[in-house]
Amino acid sequence: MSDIIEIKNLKKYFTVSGGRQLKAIDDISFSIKAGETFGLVGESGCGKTTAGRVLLRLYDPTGGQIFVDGVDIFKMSPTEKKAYTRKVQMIFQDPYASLNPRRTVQDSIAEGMEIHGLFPGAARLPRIYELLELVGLSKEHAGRFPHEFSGGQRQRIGIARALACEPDIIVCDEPISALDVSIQAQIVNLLMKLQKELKLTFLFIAHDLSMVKYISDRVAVMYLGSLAEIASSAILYDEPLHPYTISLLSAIPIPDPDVERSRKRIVLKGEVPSPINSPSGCKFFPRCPRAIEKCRLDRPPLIEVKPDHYCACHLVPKQ
Amino acid sequence: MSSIPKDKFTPVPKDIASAQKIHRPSLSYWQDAWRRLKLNKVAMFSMWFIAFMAIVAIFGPMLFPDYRDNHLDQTLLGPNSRFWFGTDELGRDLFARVIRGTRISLFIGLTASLITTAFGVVYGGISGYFGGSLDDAMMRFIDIISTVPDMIILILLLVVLPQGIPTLILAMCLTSWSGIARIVRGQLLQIKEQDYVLVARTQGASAGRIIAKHLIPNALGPIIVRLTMAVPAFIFEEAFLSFINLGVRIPEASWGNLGQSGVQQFQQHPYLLIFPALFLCITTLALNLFGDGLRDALDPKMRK
Repeated sequence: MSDIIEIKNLKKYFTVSGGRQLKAIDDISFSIKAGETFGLVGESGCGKTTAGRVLLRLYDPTGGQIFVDGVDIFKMSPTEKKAYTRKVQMIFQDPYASLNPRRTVQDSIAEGMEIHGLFPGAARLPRIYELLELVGLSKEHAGRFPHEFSGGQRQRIGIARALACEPDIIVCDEPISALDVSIQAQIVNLLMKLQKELKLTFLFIAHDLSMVKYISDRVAVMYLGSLAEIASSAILYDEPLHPYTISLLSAIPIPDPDVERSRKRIVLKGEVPSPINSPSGCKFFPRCPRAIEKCRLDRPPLIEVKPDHYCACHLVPKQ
Repeated sequence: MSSIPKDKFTPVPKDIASAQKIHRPSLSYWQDAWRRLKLNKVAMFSMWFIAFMAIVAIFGPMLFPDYRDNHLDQTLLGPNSRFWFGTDELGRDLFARVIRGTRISLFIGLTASLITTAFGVVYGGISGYFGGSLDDAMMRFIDIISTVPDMIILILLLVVLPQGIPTLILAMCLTSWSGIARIVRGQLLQIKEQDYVLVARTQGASAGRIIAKHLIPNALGPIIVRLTMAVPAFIFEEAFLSFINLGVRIPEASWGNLGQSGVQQFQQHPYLLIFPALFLCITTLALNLFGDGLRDALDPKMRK
């Protein structure tokens, strides 16, 4: 599989009051292969949503490049930009805020097609019905307004809207965290089914580790704007290397009472430092149970410690 | 518990299609708002009353055109069968004058509200949509003009500019557009960060499309409420300005200047004040009550 998205040294700083800089994304590099689901996990405020939004060109980056199909997305001509907005779509976290309350489902789904001139004229309505059925709704829902639907149904509408543009890449920004657990499973299974049928590439942003493990092929762990570890999901969950990943994984409850009772949680001390004043050296050192003097001074680079397993930690040497 | 035999149970067929069915009829935002407004008796009564006053304002002066005719042999008569509301000190028919005043007062209130709203929406819309330093500059400008008391600007304008209803409307608009501009800006700042606007942007929608399809339809509710509430405020302001002799000039009639002449003779001829005051009060009350009802109907947080 070839890389469809290649992110190189991406930086996004926001200027906050007092002229200080909030480093939402601080030099991250990774690539996503065509047709895979790439999970991006981390706690609130670690920059994962910002990363998704930079990829969608909602924000201009402070530095770095993103190549999609080999083209630098920040150096595109207006026609290329328009084609790019068709190719990359987004599914949002809050299904209540992501649909315009004044427009019918059909209007919302049709918007992308109208912008890009897909399925013109009489072909559009049948296509909308087809999309609704694809996501498990029916064509009677087309003329309804968002307030008439439940959260899970709205999220399905959001998925249908993203699919309307026939994208290659979908950025899923916590698409399930606002839903009930039973509905979460439905939506995740729907996403996986659609990915298989339509050959989509997903950037799946979430903080629910077990859900990410279930859906993702590879997972990247983010901490305070930097990447801590990248590996295939099976390896990351079985043999985590970075101390932050290890402590994160220790927080997942295990659905077996006997094992669960003996599970030992690694409770980190302190709070996440502010991204305005991030620590020098390794960003994780003030909370890291294994920190040494070097961690305070030097920032560890993200290196390939094992084949396809990347980790940014001084204590994890290249094997 | 275990006494119920197993064969008493039959599985319910699982019908996913019917589980997704919605039985309630589909209502758009405006249909839903109208449904809620209809439940509000006071607001509906006010609405019909305003409609009636609008008919009076449009057709009344055609039926009673002699609001300026002096009947010098019949001055200061009380209400009688020929002059239903009596006559003033120059023998003018007070009923015809009050009807004429209805047209003038409602016209001023409505025109001033429409002009202020239109200007406020454009100003607030530009400020809110583009944001950043343009927004800062535009809002600071509003802050600065807000520090000058409205009454000073109003009185200066009315004294300096030529007398007349257009001047009056202009002066009132110049002192009151900032409120609606602030509301529209606030609305847009909030709406443009909504996820559905972000979706439209990621799908490559143009600024014009976002404004027309997403921002304006969602900001319209508060704007309409504000417009409705501005009408009685302007009618009142006109009445006040006429009362201090800066508004509509006699022989033209408005509720304000009729009241002003009525006050001078209140002790001998109270009907000269009572009739115009009654029209003024009941109409502004109806407009305010209707505006309240409309706000409740349009506010999604009031949704039951």
